[in-house]
Amino acid sequence: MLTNVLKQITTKCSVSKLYCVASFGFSTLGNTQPHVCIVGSGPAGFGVAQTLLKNHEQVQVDMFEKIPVPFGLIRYGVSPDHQDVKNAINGYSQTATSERFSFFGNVDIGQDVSLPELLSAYHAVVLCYGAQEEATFNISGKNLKNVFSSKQFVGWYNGNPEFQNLDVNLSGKSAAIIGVGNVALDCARMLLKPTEQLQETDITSSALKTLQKSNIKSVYLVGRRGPMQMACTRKELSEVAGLECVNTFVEENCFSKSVETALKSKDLARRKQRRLVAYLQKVSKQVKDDTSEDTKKLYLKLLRSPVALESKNDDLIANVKLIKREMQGEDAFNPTFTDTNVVENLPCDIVVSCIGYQNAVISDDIPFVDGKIMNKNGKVDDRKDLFTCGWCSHGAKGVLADSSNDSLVTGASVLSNLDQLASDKNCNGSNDIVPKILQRGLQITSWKDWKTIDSFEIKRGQKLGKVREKVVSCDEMLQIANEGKSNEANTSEK
Amino acid sequence: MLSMANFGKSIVSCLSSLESTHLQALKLATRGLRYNYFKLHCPKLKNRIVTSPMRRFQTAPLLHNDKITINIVDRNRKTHTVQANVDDTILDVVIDNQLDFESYGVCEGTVACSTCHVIFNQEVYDTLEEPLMDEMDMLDLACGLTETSRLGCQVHITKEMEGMTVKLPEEITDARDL
Repeated sequence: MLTNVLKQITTKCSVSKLYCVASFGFSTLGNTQPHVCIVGSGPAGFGVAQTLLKNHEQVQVDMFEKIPVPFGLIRYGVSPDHQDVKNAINGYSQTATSERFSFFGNVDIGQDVSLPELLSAYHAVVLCYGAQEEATFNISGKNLKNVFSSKQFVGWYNGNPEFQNLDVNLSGKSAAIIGVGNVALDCARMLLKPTEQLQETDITSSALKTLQKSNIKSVYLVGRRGPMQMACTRKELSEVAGLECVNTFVEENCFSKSVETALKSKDLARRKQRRLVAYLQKVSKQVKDDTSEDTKKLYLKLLRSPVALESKNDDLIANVKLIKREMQGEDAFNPTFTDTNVVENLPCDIVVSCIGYQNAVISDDIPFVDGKIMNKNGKVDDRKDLFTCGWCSHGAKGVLADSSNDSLVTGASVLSNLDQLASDKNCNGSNDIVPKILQRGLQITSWKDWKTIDSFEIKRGQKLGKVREKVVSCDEMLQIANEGKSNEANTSEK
Repeated sequence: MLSMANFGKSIVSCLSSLESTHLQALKLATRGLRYNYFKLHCPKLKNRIVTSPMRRFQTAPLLHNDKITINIVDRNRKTHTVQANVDDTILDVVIDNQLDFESYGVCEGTVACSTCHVIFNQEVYDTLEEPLMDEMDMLDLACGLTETSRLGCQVHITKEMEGMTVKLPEEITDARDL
């Protein structure tokens, strides 16, 4: 016991702390190194880790992730043809090599370990677990066959283990996508893009095969509101509308007088929207080439609200019933919308609803209001040791830059409280919590295990001419990790 | 047969006679070779260089271009006065000078984020070439966007920028209505 204590002092305490500790005697000895736990390994989590490690010389950062592999939405949300966004993992991987960073994968906080248990083992816990739930679509027919949520559909082509058994049927001609955000456009693009352009990406081989056999020729994007309320970006829209094989159709009447006026505004905060709608207008006026058989169509149906999903037979989706809406008011950025009683039918063979995400409640202790964790600059209200960052704190909106910037704010909040928290309590972080997790019969994946799985995926991808071929089952991930460990043990024995 | 010294001299004189655009193209084309050179010979830079097929920015070039001095004000309002190679991007300058700004240049210069966002003064901003569509798209999403904002990975240093000051945006949390 004494040897351990001595080891702790000499390896972890600076000289000045050594002096303080020695003068109080061993009975008050605790680990003065701050231990911080980050829940979630996506951009928000890694952003906070980077800030903490850079600005505090002693902090130990432990990152917990629900599935065996890291990176969250960078791996499972960002689409396969957006490899440039995935460059972010290079910086995160660099962070992970720090001696004061540890990764614990395959641990579900809320299920395998409770939040109170984490809070007692760590000086501070930072929640960065994103938005796990989807906004629900409460209309009849949502359980029909070939109706998917974006989480399911995107998870399917991105190799999320939860959605590999999805029966995605692309034998029909039309797809209806409910929503006009970037996720909706990602889904549209996956359905319309020539599959040759996806062959080298990290899309799963099985999703690629299904897309190669697809008969989908028309994709309809359905939005409830007007052009100025479209949640997507000009870039995303142009990636689909700009495809050579795609003709885009937009109704002229959605460019009302109020929209024309809004397009002339000089307000910088509205620039994104103005550029998007100006592009949309340009695309709507382009001459369409209908002659080629390979030409596919993208239809933008704004000011329409879906009210029912209908089937003809076999419980397979066949039609989306829409109600047309009207936009009123002079300010196209803040109009009023009213439903008319004009019904429109949209025959289709597959529906993907991309209407946003919501936060999951992983613990009753966390103050949730309107699906957001109540916090100030990342510090959870009425809590001294609980912090939050990214989509789980302020809602499921924003791109990489938003999470990165958010992590700077939360990181700063943690840092300004950390030394006080570390002196208030003695705790040992992973030394306290990991034995409990292992006692429950769970297998934890380390960063090294991730690198083993990573190499496996890249190697397998190389054989197929792809950036990587993802492992799509958690069991297989754990198996590969174990094989890696035993290979290493065998090599070191020799 | 040329001696090594003469060979080296003729390469240098050949390269220095190239126009900056051609030099830029040559730099981009030899990026991979130069990365590996620096990985071996510059231990300080070792940790910053991660090989990735998608990287577009570059570390300090093998051959020295003209250097100027510029000022970069970080998020804590601290001014860093640094040397910058003409033709390098602002992101290159931040990395080469090991300024180590957090969450800066996350996508590594591939115009897939807006974390390398910098703000120029009006005078310098007006001399810059118009941003391309890609950059405009990403700038749209930048936090603290101003009329003189640009992405650091897309703006190249020129001699005329001697002594200029660029700022990282102060605003971190975004007030935009998405």
